[in-house]
Amino acid sequence: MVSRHYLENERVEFEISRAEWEKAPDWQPTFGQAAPLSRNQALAAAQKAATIEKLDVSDLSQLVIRLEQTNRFEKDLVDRLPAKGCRWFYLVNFKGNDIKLRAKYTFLVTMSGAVATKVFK
Amino acid sequence: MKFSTWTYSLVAAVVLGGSFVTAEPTPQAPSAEPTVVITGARSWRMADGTVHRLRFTGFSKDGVYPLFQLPKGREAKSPSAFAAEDRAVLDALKSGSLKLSTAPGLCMMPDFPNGPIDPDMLHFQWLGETRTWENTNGKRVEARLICLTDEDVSLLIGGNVARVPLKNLGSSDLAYLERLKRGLEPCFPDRIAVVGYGWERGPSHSVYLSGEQYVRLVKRGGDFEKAFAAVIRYVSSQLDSELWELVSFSESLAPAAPESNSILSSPAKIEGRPYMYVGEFFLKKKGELKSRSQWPLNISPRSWPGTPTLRIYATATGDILEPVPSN
Repeated sequence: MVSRHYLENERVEFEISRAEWEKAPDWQPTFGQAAPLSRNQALAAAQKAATIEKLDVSDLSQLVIRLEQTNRFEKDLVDRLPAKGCRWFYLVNFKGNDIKLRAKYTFLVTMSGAVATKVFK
Repeated sequence: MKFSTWTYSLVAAVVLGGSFVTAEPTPQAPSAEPTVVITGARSWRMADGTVHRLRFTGFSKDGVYPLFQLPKGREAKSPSAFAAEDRAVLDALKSGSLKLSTAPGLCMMPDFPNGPIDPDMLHFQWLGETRTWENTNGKRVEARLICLTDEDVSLLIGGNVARVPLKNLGSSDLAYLERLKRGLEPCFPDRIAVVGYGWERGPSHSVYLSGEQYVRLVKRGGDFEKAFAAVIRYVSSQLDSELWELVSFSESLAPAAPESNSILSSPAKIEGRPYMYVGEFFLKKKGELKSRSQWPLNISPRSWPGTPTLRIYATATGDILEPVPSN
């Protein structure tokens, strides 16, 4: 697991294999350093994953794209992450304004372009 | 767009109080006669000798009764209630030789109030672009059109509205107004709230774009990378890198712009919404101290239970937007 989110009473854990996680080049948001994966690449990966899940994501009017990192206050989670890899990822949410659908329509895309598996708890 | 002398002679007829329908075309008139466009907001002379400041908005479905916009709604009047010269104006509107302006968002309200304007009222008001106006005496002023009638123009100068008779305006201003009435010059909402944010147990703030900026950014589309670079560059230029840590950077579409006030203006809305960006930063103690004086509205209040947090707003063009306190 690389990130845990609470989206409208639903706890969603995003999981990815260690091998995939370690593929992402290390990156920190500093001036002059663009992220290894662009916003458009992240969106394309999330759209592809949504299509596989048979979700209609053609309407982008509620799209919210968020660049963030594993919550450093979740010690159990952070401590288990491999040292190699990038803790920054994109959260692509196709239903940003719809609290009921938000969890289902959110995808975590790593800096290597891999889409994490969602586990609803 | 160029207007013929014929058009100007008709405009002059309106400005000088002459009848629209009796204006004679000059010898230079083009073969296809341009339609004269009016706002319909003016002094209407009645058969009983009284004068009413009203805004004509069209005819009843049967085409008989002229309709006028009043605060409570539209009201039909009998054509026979008007003095002969203004009955002729109504006939010209009916025949199509005079055309009513439908310029999107253009306020055409008789007697728009003069003097200081309530900033809240401006939220619902669409305005012309900022330009230099020059009267017949050569006096210049930077202002935005806020309302237009067939007799005068109300200009927003700073926070004040001043009404200027059309006869006191120079030819370039009159040409601008002609283009405006024909929808060839844009009107925009004065400002549009694109962010509204409240700190838990703390103050709230808003971020605004001018109408022009909003439209420009809709056309521009998103640019996550440019906005991201601008936000990081901005914070790096103000705070040493060890004093802050980026928590998240997000992109979403701004709320829709308000439609024009249909009682005062022609209907208008802006299609599309611009992308807005916000960077959230955690601050170290030293960074917090500096940030409180530099960005008093962007930073979490002292009562905030978590790590001091800074929010920086940006557009797709990389412009940093300053918040203002919300009511």
